[in-house]
Amino acid sequence: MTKRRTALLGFLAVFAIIAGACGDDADTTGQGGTATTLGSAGGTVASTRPVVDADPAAILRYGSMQANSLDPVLQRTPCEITQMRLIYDTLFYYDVAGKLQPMLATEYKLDDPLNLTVKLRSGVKFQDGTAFNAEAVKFAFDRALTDAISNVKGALYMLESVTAVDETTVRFKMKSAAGGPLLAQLADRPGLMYSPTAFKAAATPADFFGKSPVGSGMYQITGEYRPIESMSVRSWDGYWDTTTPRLGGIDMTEVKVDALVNAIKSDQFDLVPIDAASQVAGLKDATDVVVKIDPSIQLRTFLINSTEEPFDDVRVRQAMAYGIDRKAVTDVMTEGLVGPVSQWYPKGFVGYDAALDSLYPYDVAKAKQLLTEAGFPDGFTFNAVIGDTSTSYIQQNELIQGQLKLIGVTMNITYVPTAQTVPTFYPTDPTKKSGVVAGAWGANLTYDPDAFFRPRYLSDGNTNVGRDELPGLRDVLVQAAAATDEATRVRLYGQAAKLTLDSLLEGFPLFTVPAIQAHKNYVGGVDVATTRCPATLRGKYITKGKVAITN
Amino acid sequence: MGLLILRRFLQAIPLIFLVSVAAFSLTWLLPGDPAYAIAGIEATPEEAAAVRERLNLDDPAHVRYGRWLGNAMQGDFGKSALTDRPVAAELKRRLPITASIAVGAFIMAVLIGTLVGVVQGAFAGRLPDKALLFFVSLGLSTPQFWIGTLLITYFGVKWKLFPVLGYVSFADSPGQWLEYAFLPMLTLAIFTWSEVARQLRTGLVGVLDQDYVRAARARGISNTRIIARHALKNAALPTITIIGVRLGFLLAGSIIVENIFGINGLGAYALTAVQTRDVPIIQAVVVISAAVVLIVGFLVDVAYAFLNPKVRVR
Repeated sequence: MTKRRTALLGFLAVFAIIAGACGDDADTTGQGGTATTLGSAGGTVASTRPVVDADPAAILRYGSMQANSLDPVLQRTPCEITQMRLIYDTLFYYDVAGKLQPMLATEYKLDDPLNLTVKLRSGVKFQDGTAFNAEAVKFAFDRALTDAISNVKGALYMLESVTAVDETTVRFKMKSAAGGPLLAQLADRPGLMYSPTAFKAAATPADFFGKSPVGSGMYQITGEYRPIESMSVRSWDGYWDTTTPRLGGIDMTEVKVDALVNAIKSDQFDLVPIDAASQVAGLKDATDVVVKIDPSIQLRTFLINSTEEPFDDVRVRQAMAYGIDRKAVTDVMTEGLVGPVSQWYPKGFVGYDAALDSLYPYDVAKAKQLLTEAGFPDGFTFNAVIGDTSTSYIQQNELIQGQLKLIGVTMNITYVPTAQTVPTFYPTDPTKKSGVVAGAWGANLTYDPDAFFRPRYLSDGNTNVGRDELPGLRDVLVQAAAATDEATRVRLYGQAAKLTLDSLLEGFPLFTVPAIQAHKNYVGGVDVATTRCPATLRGKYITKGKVAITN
Repeated sequence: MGLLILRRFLQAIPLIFLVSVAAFSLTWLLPGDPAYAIAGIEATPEEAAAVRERLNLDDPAHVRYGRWLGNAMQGDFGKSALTDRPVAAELKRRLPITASIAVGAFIMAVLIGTLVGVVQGAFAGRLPDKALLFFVSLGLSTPQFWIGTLLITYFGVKWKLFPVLGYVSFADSPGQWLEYAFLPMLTLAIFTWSEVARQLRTGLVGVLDQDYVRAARARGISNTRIIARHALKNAALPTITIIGVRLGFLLAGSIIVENIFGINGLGAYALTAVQTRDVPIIQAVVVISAAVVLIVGFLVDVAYAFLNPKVRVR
């Protein structure tokens, strides 16, 4: 271990592992015919540690604001949900262990494979005084399914209609049996609830979400919301959950990645996301700053378009997997904070299979042998695309470029404007293939594996680079989505993971990005660090008089 | 004088026209599909097509240019492809931020540069001149991003004398404005005052060697009075040209400085727009910046003509 790394690890305040995340004992789909109550129905939604003398009037200054839309059905960046969750609550939410928990909904029941009944929390109001009820839920989902600007329709592929049974009961009718994936959406963007009264009263939806969005969340927007620049929220007194620590407000400002370390050291911010592990060393001398590092659900992957030659041969894809030293790449990219991975999901998650833990160890000889068998004894040349301002991706690709040379493969890197990487990787036209042949890229894991596998591996998936489909995978995913018992889900999603990793049709994982947050020592509630996208600000607090929290 | 103003004004029209054509051509010169940036990552092809139709992205180029130019002349630069917010409103909010820092830096640069240049000129070849020359050379050769980083490290992080990020408008609080804007202005000003000092020193050394100055000295007029009342005006002419050119550079420098200090001015707006390929913003910033540079050039020409009558007859 280098001196630098020893020093780095020496001052890290906490290093927690999300072990035993959602898997074994989580019941995320309910039992057919039996009402399932998730967590405590009256409940606190977040805190896991005792709160140390929180100041209810304190304003937290957070060094990131990447929301470009506050409309739950119009996703422009994956980060937006960080800000949305402050204003709007979801029906359910996933806790830090990846377990589905109640929020605006208290329980659910799978009446039959195609009908899900959800019971709502009573007595909840939106910030304009409108009652939160089944009609409000129906309004939000009807809009998600039908509004022309909605881009969450794909995520709700299974949903046919929503019925308000009574004031506190909603029935979700599905086109295909997919109770688990639907529940996951009730905890995600489509499940964010806003006031139908205020929405209808606004001149346009853009006015409502851009100037005065009204949810039932613990904070209300105040002042001018400036997309990808700044936004402030203040505590809402009418919030239903009186147990979770609440700040007087949060002022969020977008800060350039390179400026985050100085931003917190100069006392201008209380909490900042740290995107690069190498920046952690810059905080070493800040005695009033705590650095929290945890595994995240953000993956770095080696993306392959297997409809392009020579990647249409599985042996070539496998040669790439054997020919990349994932440990070396991970060590450099994360300063040794995490290890490499050989499968998509970490232990404890549905989608993890212990049998896949040692796939594709670094083996140059094996890689060369596979290339020879595939008809490329002297290697080959291919093109990769990277965003020209994404320094982390540039570094990652250049490391891989060097390693692939050792097996005779030349990786030519083309730099494109960062904003164009997604359209380049994932063309909007389903009849077109991605222009990318292969390259290192990122991906966010989802707590329900359906939303991870379906868009990437089915031919109609919007993040499927080659628009090809792995034979047999659709059947497995359909069965898994319809499964109502946990053991079957674990088995089937494990099977899906194996199919994808045997074929390497869309590439393979390299490592999970460590989530790093730096906060002043008077900030509490940072139980588990989150990445910038998305970050969890709920439950954070500041001590009275900004007294340092000693533990 | 009136003819000169009219001539300069007429020369500016075709220039602005050419800049507007170049700015509008960015739609084709930049790669990718703007409809995708607007519709979002999860958009379907139908949604992207709807965006194209809504924004008339499929119309012929000349039709779109005519529409864009007509709107731009009325101050409407369209909406940001990324945020869907009117570009003109953002320019109105951000231009004063950039202008206040650029003008502050400009005043700082002229005052300090003049002082340093005069001292150097008055003590040419002696110790004060040589000592100041060291700092002037340093100021001319040090890149802005490095100066900014250094100032942040010491004045912001180590000594906590100034905030390192953000901006407060002069109207909200002049005191806080100075607190937030001081380091960015200093970063921007260092190169310009070094250049002003160098020009002025050279000019003064030349002027102070002329016969009328020697005659003034022979008449017993003090050196300070000679410089202040006679030499400075003549030595300042080349410096004015430099100052005019530097104003344009101060605007360009704001891109770096605003990003270092987290200021949401025109420079940061332009850089983000380039990174995200937000064409309407890039077009507006290009046209506005060109107009500002032309106006500054125009004012410098007028000032030069005012100080030097020979220029007026050209």
